[in-house]
Amino acid sequence: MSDPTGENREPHRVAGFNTLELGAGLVVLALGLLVIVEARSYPWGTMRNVGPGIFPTLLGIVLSGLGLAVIAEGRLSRAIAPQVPWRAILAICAALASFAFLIDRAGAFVSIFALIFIAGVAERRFRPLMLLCVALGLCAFTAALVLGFRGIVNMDLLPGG
Amino acid sequence: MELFDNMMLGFTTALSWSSLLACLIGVTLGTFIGVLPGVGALAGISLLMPLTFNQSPTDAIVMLAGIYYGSIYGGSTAAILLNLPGSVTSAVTCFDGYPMAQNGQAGKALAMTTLASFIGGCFSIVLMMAFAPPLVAVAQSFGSPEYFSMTILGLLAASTLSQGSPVKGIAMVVLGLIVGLVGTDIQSGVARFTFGQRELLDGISLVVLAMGLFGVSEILINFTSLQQATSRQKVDTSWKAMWPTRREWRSTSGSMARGSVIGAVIGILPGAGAAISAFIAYSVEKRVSKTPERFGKGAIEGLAASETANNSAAQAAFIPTMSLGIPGSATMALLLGALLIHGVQPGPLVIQTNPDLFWGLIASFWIGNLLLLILNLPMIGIWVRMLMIPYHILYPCILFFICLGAFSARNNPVDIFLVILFGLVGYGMKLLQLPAAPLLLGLVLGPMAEEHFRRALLLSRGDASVFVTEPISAALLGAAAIIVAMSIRASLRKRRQVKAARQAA
Repeated sequence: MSDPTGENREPHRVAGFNTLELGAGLVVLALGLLVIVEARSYPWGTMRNVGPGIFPTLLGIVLSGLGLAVIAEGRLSRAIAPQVPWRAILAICAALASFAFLIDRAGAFVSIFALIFIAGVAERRFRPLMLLCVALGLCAFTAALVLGFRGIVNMDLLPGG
Repeated sequence: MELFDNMMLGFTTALSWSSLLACLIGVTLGTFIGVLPGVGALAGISLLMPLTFNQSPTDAIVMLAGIYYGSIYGGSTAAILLNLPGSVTSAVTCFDGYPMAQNGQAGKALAMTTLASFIGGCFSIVLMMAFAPPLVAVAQSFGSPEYFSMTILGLLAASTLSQGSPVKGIAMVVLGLIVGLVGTDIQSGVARFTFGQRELLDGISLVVLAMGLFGVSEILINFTSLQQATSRQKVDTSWKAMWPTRREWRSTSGSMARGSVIGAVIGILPGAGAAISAFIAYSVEKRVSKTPERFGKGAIEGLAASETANNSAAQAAFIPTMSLGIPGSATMALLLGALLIHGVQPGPLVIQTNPDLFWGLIASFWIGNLLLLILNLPMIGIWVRMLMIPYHILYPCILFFICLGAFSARNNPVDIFLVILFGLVGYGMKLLQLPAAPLLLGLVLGPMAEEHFRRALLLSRGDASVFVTEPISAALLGAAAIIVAMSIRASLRKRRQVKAARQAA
């Protein structure tokens, strides 16, 4: 782990293809094919009176072709996946999800505390005091916003409010 | 004098209390976003867009535009003091701005960038006043085939000229066009790509998508790559230390003139934009200079040229966006999206149907640039202090504003879950090096492109050759084909180089 940016690592390859670029190309290709298949169920119409199916089908074909082009272009690429900060990703998604889950049930203050403290886990060093200050500051801000712009920002501040 | 009447109308609109306030909030928030490294204009605008939903369309666009060009003013502050661009557009500012700061001339560098930004901005506003009406007149003679071809050209240019692989750029534009089709088809009432979800019948919300793709994923990316840096530097912000001397004015006036023109030309073209214009202006300046060896060691000419160019380009980008309805960058696409949300159909008709919006926006540019001059010269000390905010305080706050924005748009917590989803998608795209900005461009233009496609075929009685038999449409498609051919050539050449390098190794 002495090389976090991965500049000097040799890229991973599958059958001579750069794995990362192959993955990108396959995702694009799969999406293109999905679009073509899905668009088949929409009325086609005529050339004169174009139905809802034609334009998506055309785009799907182009997208699939581009997927193949991405695979071909990236064959010799030296692209390397950076290290994924799993801890930060999980913490941040959990923080946002907790806010979404709590906002209608427990009000803004509780939600803000949940959001800020769970988000704080994203960093290796947990700083409870600083997070407390941030959370209190945002609570004050939200209170001012909700009370000052009633009708524009609608949020319950307290649980059961 | 028609222009005079129009500008009078513009200023009456822009000088109303609500517009003035919108402009002030916009440029202040923009400067703030620009100053902070790790928060770009795109993320800033998507975060703040829900704020504008209760305003009039004019105030909304004035504010969002203010955030955009304000962020370009602010971006230079971090570049000069930290050697870390606050936004991509000010990457070049680091080259000479940071050495100037190390020589104890931080105040002067900050003042120079503000003045240069102001001059570059003004140049392009004048250009917009002069050229937007004739451009609109040309565009009004366009029919559906021309429109369709112009959209294709704009999309291709915007997605291939930016950094990275052009193939991936085009792929993401096409994906964006498809995402733009999600929802009920207006002409036939058929629900497309909804997969039975009622939530999707209205289409995918631009705000939610942009917040996820640019807000959340940017935070996740910063956790992978952010250099932690804060500034404790003392900056002498006295008038005497900051104001350029007569000699400096003389040596930079030529640079600023060249920077303005380069910025404006590049800004009008789709795709290239403010960051590239700054690079080009800088290299031109280095070539023109009699003492090119000073560049990179604190040459004030280089600083002036790149800053005039990026602001000139930022303002010039509004010319095609507002007069043709074709955005050249994802930021401009967001602004058009905001107009659509407010029920204003972007395109050449805006100048007739909403003259107060069109000319009010231009007038607000003057006001906004003046405000920025005030915000960035006498009040520069405040922004310098902003740089002391560490990222571990910043990102929880950004997350909160994402929640606030996503929730208040419809008062529906489901939108926050969607933001998480798009944030993860955005991060995944970043890992696979698929650019997210073209996707947004396609999303905004998708429905329009399809409508013109259908209408063109209807009017030509099903004859698809109409796109190449109409001369203007054929020329536009020809230009698009040249762009595609050029990027294929560049890609093949790169491949050959890699192969040659491999064989040599």
